[in-house]
Amino acid sequence: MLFSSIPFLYYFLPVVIAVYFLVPRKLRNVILLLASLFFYFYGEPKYVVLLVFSSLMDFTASRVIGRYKGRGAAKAALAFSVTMNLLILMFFKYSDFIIANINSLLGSSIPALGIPLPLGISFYTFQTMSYTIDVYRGEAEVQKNPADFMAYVSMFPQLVAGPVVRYQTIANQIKGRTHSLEGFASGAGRFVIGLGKKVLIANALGELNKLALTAKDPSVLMYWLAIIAFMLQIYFDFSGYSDMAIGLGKIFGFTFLENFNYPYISKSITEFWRRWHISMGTWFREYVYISLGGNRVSKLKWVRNIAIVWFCTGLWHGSSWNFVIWGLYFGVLLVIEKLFLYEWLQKLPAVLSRFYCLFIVMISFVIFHIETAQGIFDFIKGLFSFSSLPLATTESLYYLDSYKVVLIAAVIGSTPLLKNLVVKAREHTGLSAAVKSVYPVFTAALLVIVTAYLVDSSFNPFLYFRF
Amino acid sequence: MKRKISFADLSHVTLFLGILFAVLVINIFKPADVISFSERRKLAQFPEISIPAVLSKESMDGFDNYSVDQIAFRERYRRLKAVFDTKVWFKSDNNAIFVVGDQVFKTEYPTNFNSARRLCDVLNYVYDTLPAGIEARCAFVPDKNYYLGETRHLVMDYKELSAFVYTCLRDGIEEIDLFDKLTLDCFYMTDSHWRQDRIGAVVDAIYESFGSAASFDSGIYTTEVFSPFYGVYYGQSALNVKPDDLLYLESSFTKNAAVSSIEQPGVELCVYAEDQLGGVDSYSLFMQGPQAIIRAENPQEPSGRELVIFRDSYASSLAPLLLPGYSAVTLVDLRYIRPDLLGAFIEFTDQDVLFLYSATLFNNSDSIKSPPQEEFISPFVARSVIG
Repeated sequence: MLFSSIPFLYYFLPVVIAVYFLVPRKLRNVILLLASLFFYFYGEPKYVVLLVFSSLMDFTASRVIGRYKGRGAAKAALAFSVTMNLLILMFFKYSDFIIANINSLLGSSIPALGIPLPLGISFYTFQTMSYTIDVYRGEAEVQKNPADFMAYVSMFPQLVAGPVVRYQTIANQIKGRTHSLEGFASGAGRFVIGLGKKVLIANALGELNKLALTAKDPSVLMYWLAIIAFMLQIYFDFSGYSDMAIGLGKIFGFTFLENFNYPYISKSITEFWRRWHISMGTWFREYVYISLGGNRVSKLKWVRNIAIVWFCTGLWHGSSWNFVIWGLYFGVLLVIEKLFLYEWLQKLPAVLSRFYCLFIVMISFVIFHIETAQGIFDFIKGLFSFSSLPLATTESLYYLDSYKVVLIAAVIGSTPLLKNLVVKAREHTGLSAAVKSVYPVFTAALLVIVTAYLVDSSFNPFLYFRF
Repeated sequence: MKRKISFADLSHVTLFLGILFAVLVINIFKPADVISFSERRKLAQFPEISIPAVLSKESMDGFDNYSVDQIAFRERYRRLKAVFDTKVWFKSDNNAIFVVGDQVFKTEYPTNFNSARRLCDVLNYVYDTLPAGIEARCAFVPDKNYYLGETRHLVMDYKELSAFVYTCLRDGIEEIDLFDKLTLDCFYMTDSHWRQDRIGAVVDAIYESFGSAASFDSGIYTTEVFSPFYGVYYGQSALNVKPDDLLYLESSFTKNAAVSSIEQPGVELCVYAEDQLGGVDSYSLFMQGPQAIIRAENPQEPSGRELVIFRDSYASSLAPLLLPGYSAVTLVDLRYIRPDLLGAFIEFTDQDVLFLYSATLFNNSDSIKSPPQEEFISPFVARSVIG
């Protein structure tokens, strides 16, 4: 079930909210668990078994770790949990990729398994792994109630597309949380804004990207339109989803950490990754980079650690070499920045360092978006083929004209400009009351407009669902 | 200490929950509609709920479609979306539909030469099965976008597509040029089709091409009017555009014609199916709408000269105007019958044969049925095999 769908908005959500707030507090986690399992079952009826199995396995492993703390059995339980999670992920997500590579290396013809990827598997396996590791490290308490643990793993607001919520972030909230009108209002507002980002902006940019990529006649403008639309689409799609998840969390009394912080205003790649998909970056830093020794090792080992982290980051995004190259591309740039470039960038005028960062990120999204090496090369060449391609065609100018307002809105929306204006208006004594009273009306209107778009177009998948 | 309730938060939660629960309750009690007239399609109904259907996700997919199709105020939502797209985002079109003045258009772009070639291959197959010496013509109908003139909208190159079509067709199939026989006024404002009351020049061009002495005589017709006519683009645009009047020309030829369809054997039909007016598609008034093969016999023309039109829907409103020149006019729609099966229904002897297709169909020929592959070798394929 998609958040941006009529069944979710007007059937699932009101029913869950009503039941959740009507039952006694002690039953609320059970309601949340049942709702989440139904939510997952609706999208993946068969794989709900895998989700339950994965949760119970890590629940059991963590109980063993807790019971035999500091002994070999705890280590064995941790190793079992991590290995099983990685095997599950490898089998369901990477088996065909591995088979294809074996076939091309050995000339064999092992048939692909063609297993459909379970929704959200990359997110929930990472969450459960983080839990057992944290329990082993003594950074998280052992959860003794299987229903509460499963409520954490399967919690529908963040189940299928993140953010990757570490157990320790919400351990106390699972035990007991406060629900307030203020929190509900703030969550509802955040949810609707995320919905608007996804449905009104990301989907329109997705259309533009598709139109540009399938244009009849290529032109330099078409290549630029395609990649700029994709850059903005992926940001609004994914950050919109994170907004919805955070907003829903707030409605039910949870506080998830922020996942995006205006990444396109970054002045370096180092800063970009502090602002983009923060929960995933944090996970890899905490559980891979630091486990490997982080930067407290020799320079060579440090480079190796970064290479491993970014190889995994790339592979996490998809079972294809272009994702691996995409990850390693960032790894190389981060090493370069850490060695010398970061300091230089700090001395440059902000406009230049931002331009540098946007350019690097833009090229990275060509690698991310186009699957073949030849396709990537041709696309990058197309961006700069000022002499061999027409600068613009009737078609490209038409699309630019048709989507110009969406593009302008997306560019402005990807900066903190609007947020800062609202904050300033709220602080202003004369405007504060007006902003407070307009905001509910604005989000209600936005919800109706989003519904209109959903009614007009029923198929509306999220980009990050298959990662 | 009890926190003070903020009016802003209270109104926010009330509005949010109010919308969610209002839509839920209205949808639960709203009876399901069967058809969307504006979109001209059946609406999804509540899905079957069974263990196999649930496990295969069929029930969930069905419910997704049902919930979107049956939502209360669906048409108002669609209109809101169209208005937002065009007036807030300032997009040049909404779902490829755009409005210029009172006319509604649908973007047909880019030119799909492969599709045009495919249709030409099928027409060549038909032509090759005709007896030698039969007179065959092809009329390429430019759609109304051609007559937009200078525009910022994307319009395919109709002249180029037309030239390509005539290059692909057999040499024996002669061209009837319709480009200068039509203007924008010849088309409905809210529909893709031409208006029957404004295609006299097309009728004359066809007569002339087949060497017929007949000509279009507006004096023999009385004009009937059906209003309002909501054309195919009216519903798709979801905008507040002015509907058309549907005009149709009655004459003794149309009233006395004996009409029969292979889909309704033994049933006497009319040239104008007035029972279709006000239905899902009022344009189906003309020659009973979509039919595989329909034949109109004209008892007032004893010459025995017959015309067979391989056609799309444009010919439905044209055929009644060709009756005065022929003893019978047969319409064949290859979207509903395979060309290799025609021999069972039509005996080709010396009829005039007209291939009349719109640019839109040449550009989107997937719906045209091909003969079975083993019998059908496209000349282009054959050439490449030989080469």
